Amino acid sequence: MVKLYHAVHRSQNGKTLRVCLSVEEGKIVQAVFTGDFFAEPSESLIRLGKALKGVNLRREDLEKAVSSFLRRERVWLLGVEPKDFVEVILKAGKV
Amino acid sequence: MERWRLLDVEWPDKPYYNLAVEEAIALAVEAGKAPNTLRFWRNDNTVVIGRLQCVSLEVKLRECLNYGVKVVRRFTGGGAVYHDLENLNYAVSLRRPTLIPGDDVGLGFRKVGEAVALGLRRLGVEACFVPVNDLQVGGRKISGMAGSLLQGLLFIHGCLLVGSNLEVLSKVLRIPREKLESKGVKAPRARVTTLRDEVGRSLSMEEVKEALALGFEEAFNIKLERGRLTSWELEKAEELYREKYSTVEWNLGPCVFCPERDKDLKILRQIASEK
Repeated sequence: MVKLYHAVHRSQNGKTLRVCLSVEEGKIVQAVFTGDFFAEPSESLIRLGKALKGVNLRREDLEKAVSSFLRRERVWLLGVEPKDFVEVILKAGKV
Repeated sequence: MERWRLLDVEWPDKPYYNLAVEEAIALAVEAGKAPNTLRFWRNDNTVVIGRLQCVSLEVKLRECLNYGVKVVRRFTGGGAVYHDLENLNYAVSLRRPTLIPGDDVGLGFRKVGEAVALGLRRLGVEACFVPVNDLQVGGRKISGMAGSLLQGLLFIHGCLLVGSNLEVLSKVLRIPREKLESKGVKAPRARVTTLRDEVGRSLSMEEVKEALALGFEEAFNIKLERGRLTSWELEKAEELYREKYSTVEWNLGPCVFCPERDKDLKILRQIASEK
């Protein structure tokens, strides 16, 4: 059964990162990241959310998936760091 | 000395069109069809949300409908803001490479913040830049900025609270508990201030624009010359208005999971159709 979660995380720079997360059997189906930070190209955030499909809700797996995506797509971030995406997903998954 | 175009063009009752003009100017400067530009403009009674925000989670849409507040998404990141006629927007479009080292958006915020602070100093207000993208007076926010780095363009815009109605602001925006806690305040009203409150006298918008223009000339060592929108920009703005900013799809955004999505879509349609 697919479950939906939502979490809010504050980055060290004081920016808000939200995730709406759908999970099935401990694996991400889709994640949608939103917030008041800056990212270019902005469309890459949607792709990041889709690229996480099938990833386990485990810190190491998430770190690997997030950082390799951001590097591969050369995503520029301001106000949040790659680790913030991992934190917000883990926070959502805990609820 | 480099010359920039100064545009004082606004459609306060047409926020979707105002935002379309904003992007059209940026694209014109990027394409080399217009010189570097500083624009001053206002919206009336409008919430403008950041490119990456979820409108359902950030905005109380039903309250917007009650207060006749329009809602529009901009093309730059950052947070949701409330605009009325007492809020002045400034927007800088600079063709890359710019005078800002590395054409970096973060440094762009700092430099534009410096220009605005120099302008405010002429009005007797000491503001300072607080990273990532705020200008504060005595620990309270008076201006927030947003920006974007395109292939050939560094774009920074911001809004300056001259005397906005902060009561409406707190009624239509959802401020996350986490944000208030991290700022150490309970109510959003406690962490913002307006130029009128700081100056302690009435100020005309013309006076504010004049001071800011001088601040930009000083900070960037440029000369501003009043100009007009080109026909290319007007045509592009019309297209962006039609295909992007006036559409509910753009303004609703990417969050496909929101349980309230269908309801919010209807409210956004209603808001857009109100005159």
